[in-house]
Amino acid sequence: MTRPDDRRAGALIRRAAAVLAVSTAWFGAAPALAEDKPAGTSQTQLARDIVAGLDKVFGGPHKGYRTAHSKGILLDGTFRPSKDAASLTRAEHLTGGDVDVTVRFSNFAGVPHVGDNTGDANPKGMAIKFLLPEGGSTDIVAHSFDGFAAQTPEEFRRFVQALGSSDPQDFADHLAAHPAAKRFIDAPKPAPVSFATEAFYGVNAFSFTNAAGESRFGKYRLVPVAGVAHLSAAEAAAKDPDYLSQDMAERLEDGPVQFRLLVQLAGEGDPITRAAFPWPEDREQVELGVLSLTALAADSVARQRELVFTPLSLVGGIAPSDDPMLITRTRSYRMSYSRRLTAGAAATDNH
Amino acid sequence: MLRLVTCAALCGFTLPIVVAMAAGHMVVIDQIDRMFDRKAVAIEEGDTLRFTNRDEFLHQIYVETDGFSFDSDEQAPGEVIDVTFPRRGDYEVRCGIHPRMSLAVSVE
Repeated sequence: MTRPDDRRAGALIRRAAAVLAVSTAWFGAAPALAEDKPAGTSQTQLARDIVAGLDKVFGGPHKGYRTAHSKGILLDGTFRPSKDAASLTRAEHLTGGDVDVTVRFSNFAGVPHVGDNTGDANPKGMAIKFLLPEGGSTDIVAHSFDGFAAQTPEEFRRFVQALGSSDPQDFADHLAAHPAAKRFIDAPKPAPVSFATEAFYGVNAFSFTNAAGESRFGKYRLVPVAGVAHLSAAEAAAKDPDYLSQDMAERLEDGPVQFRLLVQLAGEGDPITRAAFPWPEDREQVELGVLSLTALAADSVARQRELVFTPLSLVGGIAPSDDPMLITRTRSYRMSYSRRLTAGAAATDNH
Repeated sequence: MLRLVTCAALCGFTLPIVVAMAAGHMVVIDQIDRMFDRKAVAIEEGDTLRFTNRDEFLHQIYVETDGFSFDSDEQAPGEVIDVTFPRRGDYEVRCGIHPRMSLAVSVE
């Protein structure tokens, strides 16, 4: 099942792990890198550099696929708002009746056929598109790591470029100088039993405003109703490379797969514009409602290619924070989207 | 450009972001309900399109064409962006946040 591009990306990630081991040993003596400097280029150029850097890491571009999180599955379902949601926001999809949703679960790597049970496949992604009753849509884009590998877009560009560098010392030096990157690489990222047993985090903060005009900052999180459950390394190794899509098909025969959608509210002093590190776990949470996913989407290949999920696709009652990563993420996804549409006809498999 | 900015200030408009200096005529395009207010527009060389965000959430417009391209900042509700098309040709203005938004611009 493993294909040449899988092996290349896998090797790169394994090299990163090896570099990490070395860098950890050297941590006290490693020379600090100069601070990341503003590149003096546009947001679009920054995103373009990140996409190019990810291509290098993952052996891309892979025609018709996303630059990262290339392998995924698509599900249809509904979202039912909770009675508490209106206390936080007046957003139309969170304060009325049931809303149709499309959800994409994905593996991390920008490798179309990466095995679900490999290290390159984690963290997982979960993207939600709420189909608004009056037309249009609004999105949430989350992953299974509470935080991010960089504090700023410039720092993330450097992370990606260091990861793809031909000199392993570049990545070691980057980790030594950037705690967010080191935390991201160090953190255990076990394979889930199922996409339905993984928790997901929206990473960046948004401002939620209710009908009374009261605003609070918060971050999305998605909690699986089935409970969080992961595999040991040995259990993961024994799994089929496509075990997550197989599991989902079997699970849906027994009923919907459900997630609770929550917002973790910022406490005093919590950073709003830098999302690499999580807020304290004791922060107040508001439950917005429950997602019920009922079926794997028909015509999944074409629909995945033609859908783009962006964190800045919003509605009234939810506004972005000033975290610049929101812009960088949106522009990067836009580039990946434009590229895969152009090349989409070449993609013919079923991932 | 100064005249444009002064007019906007005097008239109480949201200050326009001037992507290129306006020289010819101006055509106003509203962005509303995640759509441009029309599918296509024909203008003359040097004319300006004024994009006005009538939604209560962000938009962002761009053109990627050989010979002419631009990429706006994120456009807040009520914010105006002016784009002057300096050369003849056919262009597509798109929204970087809402991929279904597309405006065909024919510059004669």
